[in-house]
Amino acid sequence: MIRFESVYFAYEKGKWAVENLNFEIKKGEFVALLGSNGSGKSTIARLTDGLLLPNKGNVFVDGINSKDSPDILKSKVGIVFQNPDDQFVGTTVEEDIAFGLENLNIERKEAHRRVYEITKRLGIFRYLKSSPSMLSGGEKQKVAIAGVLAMQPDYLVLDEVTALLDPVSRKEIFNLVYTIAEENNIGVLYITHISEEVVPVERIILISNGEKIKEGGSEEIFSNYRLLESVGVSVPAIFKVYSFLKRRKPDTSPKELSESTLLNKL
Amino acid sequence: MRAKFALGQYNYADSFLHRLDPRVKILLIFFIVILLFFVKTISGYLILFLFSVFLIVLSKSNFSSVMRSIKPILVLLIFTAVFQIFFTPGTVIFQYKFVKITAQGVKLAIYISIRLILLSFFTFILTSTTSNIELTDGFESIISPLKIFGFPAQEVSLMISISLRFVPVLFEEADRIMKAQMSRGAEFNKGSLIERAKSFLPLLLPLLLNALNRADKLATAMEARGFVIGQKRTKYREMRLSGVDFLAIFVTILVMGISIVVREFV
Repeated sequence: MIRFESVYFAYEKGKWAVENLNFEIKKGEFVALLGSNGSGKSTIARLTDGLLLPNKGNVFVDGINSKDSPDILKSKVGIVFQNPDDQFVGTTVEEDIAFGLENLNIERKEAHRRVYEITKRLGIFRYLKSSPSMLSGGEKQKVAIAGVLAMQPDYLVLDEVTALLDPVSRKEIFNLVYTIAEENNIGVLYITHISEEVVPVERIILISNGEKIKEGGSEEIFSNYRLLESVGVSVPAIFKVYSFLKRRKPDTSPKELSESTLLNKL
Repeated sequence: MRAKFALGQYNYADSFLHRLDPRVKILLIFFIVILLFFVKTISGYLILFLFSVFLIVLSKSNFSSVMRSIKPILVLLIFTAVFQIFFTPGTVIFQYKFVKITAQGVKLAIYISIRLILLSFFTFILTSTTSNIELTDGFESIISPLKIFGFPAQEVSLMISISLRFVPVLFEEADRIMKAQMSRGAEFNKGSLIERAKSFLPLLLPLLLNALNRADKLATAMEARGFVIGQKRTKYREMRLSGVDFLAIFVTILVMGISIVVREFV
């Protein structure tokens, strides 16, 4: 379990980027962290795997305090950043995915097996010998995700990984991560400022100025339009349709929050 | 702009040269480059030229890329040749007022030009058939005996690898910044040489800042993937000498030997 206990973090003295943050993510759980630009999302991502250490409070991953062993955390928590171009180390897709495995001292045979399996699973096997920089935005992000998944982390932090993608690729990446995490019992912290993306997520943490504003399911988070507006987050269009239907047909439940179901009901 | 910069770019193909052990390629090319400065006959150079053409055909590279590899050294080549023609003492074959051209000067200019062209050909053969990671793995293996003296072989080779990967990225970035500045009225192709050089100054600062920003992000991503300076890492790629490597060593030594002993025919 990832546990944030009254975490404070500041880049400059007296100006908290993260303030009194408390939350937990269990293994196998998919949690979304939603907030506008500059709300402290990326700082939280870096605190999760020990890249940053809290000024006050503690971050625990499976009972290990990040202040005690930040390096152990990096093998337990995988993190993928927004721009894949800033993350590639290898000249080819294969070499890049293998980079993390070399750092973990994984034997050659096992490393080859993992690279083969993860690239097959993510549908990028045919690009193994290609340069990552030659791929499309969605494929590049798949390579970056593969590089982290190959390390077989217990938890995955995705820091705005779809922000540079078109809506179709965005949906594809989200669904892929959701399925793989479910299959492999990986705990996921899905960080985004795009509210549409996280509508299907069961637990959403809304943050603003480094503070947790609200935590709950889609209905709890998105039903308060005024609150969302005050923290710079838009209300998903699909949720507006859902609210409209709910007023007309009170039996509409949050489980029906999908385009096809709502369209049928309309 | 990236396409114009062929030197140091890997050609994604599968050829006999691509399959050779990188250590063999690095060492053979290294010795050929040294040999270029010891060959004293045109026939010797002709043999090396034909050998380089043979290797380029074998590497499945196209000749337009090879020609592009000469472009960056063209100014150096012309300057050196002109300098040798006019300033080398010897038998005068042409004189106009104080300008003298000597037979030795012409010969030296031809030799130096051939050396520089062959140097870029052989460098092209190495970098177009060996990926950056292979190059650095090979280089690391070659310099690894220095580890006993405390030399950070692994870190140095990784540093070189990342620098090589970022060369085309920086060229693309420069191109992007130039276009952005041109769209706001900046002119890079007008005026005298000094004016043109001055117009490039506003390009340098954003380029440097972007490069530093990218370096910072890459360092964070590498750390997140478990990279720790000085820590032992496994190797994903196995380097083992095979029959083709010994064949390449034999053929290269044979060609080098012939180019040294061959008699002048012109």
